[in-house]
Amino acid sequence: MARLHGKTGQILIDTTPTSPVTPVALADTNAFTLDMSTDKVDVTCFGDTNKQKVVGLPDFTGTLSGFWNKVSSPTFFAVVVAQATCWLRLLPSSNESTYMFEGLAYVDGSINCSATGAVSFSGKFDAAGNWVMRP
Amino acid sequence: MSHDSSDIDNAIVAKLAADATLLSYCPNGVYVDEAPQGMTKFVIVSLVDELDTPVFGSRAFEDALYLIEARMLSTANGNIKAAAARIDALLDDQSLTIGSPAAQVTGYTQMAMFRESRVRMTEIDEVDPSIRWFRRGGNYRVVMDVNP
Repeated sequence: MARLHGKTGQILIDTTPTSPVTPVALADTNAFTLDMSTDKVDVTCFGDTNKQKVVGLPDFTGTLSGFWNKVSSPTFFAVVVAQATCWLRLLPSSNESTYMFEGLAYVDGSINCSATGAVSFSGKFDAAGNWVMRP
Repeated sequence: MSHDSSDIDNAIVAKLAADATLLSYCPNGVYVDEAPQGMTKFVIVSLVDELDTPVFGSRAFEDALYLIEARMLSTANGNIKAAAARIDALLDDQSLTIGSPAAQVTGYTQMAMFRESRVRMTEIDEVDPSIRWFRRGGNYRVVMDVNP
């Protein structure tokens, strides 16, 4: 199995996520993160020799970023402004397009415009439904 | 769409070389890196630094810094002040187009072109210290979006 470079990553979005979902690539994106941390609840008792925890449910939350593009960026921000849900599909590599994380999400967004650089945007998302890892 | 980074260099040279006012100050022309021997009043364009910024699956844009300056031999009675001002008028916050009718550099869409810092110096010839070269211009940042 070859290791992967992130340059072929891909973010796809379906802004009207009715089944079957049809996510399309969000252009000019350059990074995403996905945090699947689980809640840990302390159940340490008298007599235990170390702290002990039990796990709850995993969170599915993350970030994404890219450069502003008048063709595709408004698609993303329309969902942000509407506070609606969308379907996000995150591919570590578009060359291995069957490997993905996806699910319904709420998204937040922000734009960074500086006189000394390219106009960029970033976003955060939280699960709005059950997420899955495929295959 | 295909793109060739050297076309950006060529477009800068072509834009400067097509300006009659600049050529009246620098009649020897506009060159990349070095001028032919014997020239006394000319413009030099040099690529100082360049950074390609990627997005997923492709190159997003090319961000280049060029040193662009008029150079004049001290004995050539040139107007280096006017030459540098003309370079700035042609490049700072202007369109980088090439050819007639004016067109964007093939394969790119211009994002920005502006002067980032000023350059002014007098260079003393290493072999003959009596010879002095006046150099004046600036560092110009040229950012070009790579067309998909």
